Amino acid sequence: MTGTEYSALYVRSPEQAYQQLFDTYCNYVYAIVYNKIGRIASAEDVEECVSDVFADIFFSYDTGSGYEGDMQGYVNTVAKRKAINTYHRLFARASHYTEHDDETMGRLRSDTDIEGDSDRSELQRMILNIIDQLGEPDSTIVIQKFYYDKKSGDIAKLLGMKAPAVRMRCKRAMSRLKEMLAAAGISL
Amino acid sequence: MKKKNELDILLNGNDDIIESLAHRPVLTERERKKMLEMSKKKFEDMKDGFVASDMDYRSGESVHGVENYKKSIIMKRVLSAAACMVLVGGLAGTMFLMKRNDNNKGVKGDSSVINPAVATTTENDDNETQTTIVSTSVNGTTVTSAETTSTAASVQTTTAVEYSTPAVYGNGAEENAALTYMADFTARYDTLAMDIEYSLVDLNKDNVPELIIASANNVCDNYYVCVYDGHQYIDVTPGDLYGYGLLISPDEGLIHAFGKYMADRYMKINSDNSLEIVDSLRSWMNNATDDSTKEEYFQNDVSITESEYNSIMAKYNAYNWIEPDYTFYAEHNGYIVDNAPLLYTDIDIDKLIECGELPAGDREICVCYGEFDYTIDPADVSINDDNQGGRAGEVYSPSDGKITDTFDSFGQGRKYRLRVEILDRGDDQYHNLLLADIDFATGECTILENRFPDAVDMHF
Repeated sequence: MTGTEYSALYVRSPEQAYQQLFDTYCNYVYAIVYNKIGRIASAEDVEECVSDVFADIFFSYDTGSGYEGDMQGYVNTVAKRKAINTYHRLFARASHYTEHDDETMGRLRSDTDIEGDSDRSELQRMILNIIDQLGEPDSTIVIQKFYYDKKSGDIAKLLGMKAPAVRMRCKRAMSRLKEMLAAAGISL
Repeated sequence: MKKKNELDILLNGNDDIIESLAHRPVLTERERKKMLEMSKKKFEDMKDGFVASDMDYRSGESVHGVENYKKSIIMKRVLSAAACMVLVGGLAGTMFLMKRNDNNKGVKGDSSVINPAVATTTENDDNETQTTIVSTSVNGTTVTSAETTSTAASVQTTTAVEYSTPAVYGNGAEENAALTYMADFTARYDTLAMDIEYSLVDLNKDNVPELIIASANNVCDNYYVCVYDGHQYIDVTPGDLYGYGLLISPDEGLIHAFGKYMADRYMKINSDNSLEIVDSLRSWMNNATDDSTKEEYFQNDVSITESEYNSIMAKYNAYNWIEPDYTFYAEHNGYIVDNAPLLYTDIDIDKLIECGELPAGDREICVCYGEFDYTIDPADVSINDDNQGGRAGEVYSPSDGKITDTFDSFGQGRKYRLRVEILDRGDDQYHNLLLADIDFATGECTILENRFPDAVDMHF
């Protein structure tokens, strides 16, 4: 969705512009937010952060700016900034109650580890490629269950399947994935 | 801190990784609507100058900050379940439960026992409880055990009026052989077996039923056809038998497997117990070089005309096709497939807070459960073991007051016996409210611990 399209739609109907922008970038924003805060945030925290992102965009985007390019970059920036703010807020809150685990602290430090980040990105790409090799619906089920931490019932709704079928495929798909990853020298 | 997920390695990815993740199905329509409504409300508040979006809407820092979004039905049920687990529990409850299980093991410890079919409890004038457990063994015999226990006052057990029980099978040699085959089959493919069904149907009219197995899901089904050789069932499936469906015509003794982009296959069981593919019919849209398309027809991989194809299909379509009468094998593994008894939960949020031991304000009520079968000691059940249980929670505010609900499908797809724990998270720390053991087969809810009996209850 371009800035021009959004602005034109906003002039005709802010409500429609709101809806269109949300529909276009909802998955994208959710993916960004979850990727940044998923380890520490509850599902409700993630949903709240996503809604914050869109509220911010609707509130602050200047429809008279004349920007003609794709809005994805703008959405990306707002989402990342908001997610990082949320991360720090949640982490500060959680630290009152729980001890920092090594993994979380390690992740904070990893922001400055360029070599480590590069290796991590390559590893992530490889894992996603191998997940894709599972085929559908298994690849989606695996991502939903073991990355987004969704319940089988919710995954079933998303894919139009029965929850027991999701559970069954999930178990088998993860076994297959681990075998494929092991063959590629990757262990989860 | 949340539990670690296997694919947490994908967190903190760069834009390419995020883009890749975003292009996959992510959100259900309900989740999208929920977030859209939340964002609209936040937007309106921002326009009105009430709050900045960075404010924590649930922190209580602002009157306008509390987001009241709709709770999911599942969460509500969970909450209700939490609600219901009331009361009285105690040491005697635990002892009662464990003792009962030890006795069960006397029957079930024998590996030949498939499942307890029915457990009935009666109480005499001396406050003694007589528990009778009737089980069905692999060889079809019925095993009955009886136990008498004194009922301690501190144990609260509620019993459902109606409850489902695992299916009971007859004594026929074929049926027992079929169950033996299914036990091996599910062990090979999926010990949970929630989606594995089987049906015994006599297709070749020799008075010996064939065994049809459907490893079913909504995407693609795998089917297996087995014949009885006088001792056991043997798989005679010709290669992979998959598709969107499998129908049988008992009148014609035929099996019809079909699916999108697949040939319609018609098969029959011969008198020598072999499975023969009678016909394989398919139509194929061939893209011609001149941008036009041409439908082609094949019978057993031999090209035929459209009229021939239609004629043959019309013949088969005229038969009386029915779906096999399947039974879920999961019941044999201690899982509830259908007709779970209603489990009621009650939680009085106001009373919970009035107790003074928990923080006030919005809170998440979680129900965690651990599944356990009949062969292990209940004491070994770990509620937080991901392989044996799950967790669900829902956010409530004090204004929700007393919540009562039923978990009409709480037991479906789960073990007949669950250990359930209700937790309160009002301040990012989990506080135990109630611990109970549930047995959907007997309809018993035994409260083991209940910190707030005036505010929390669970019962059938």
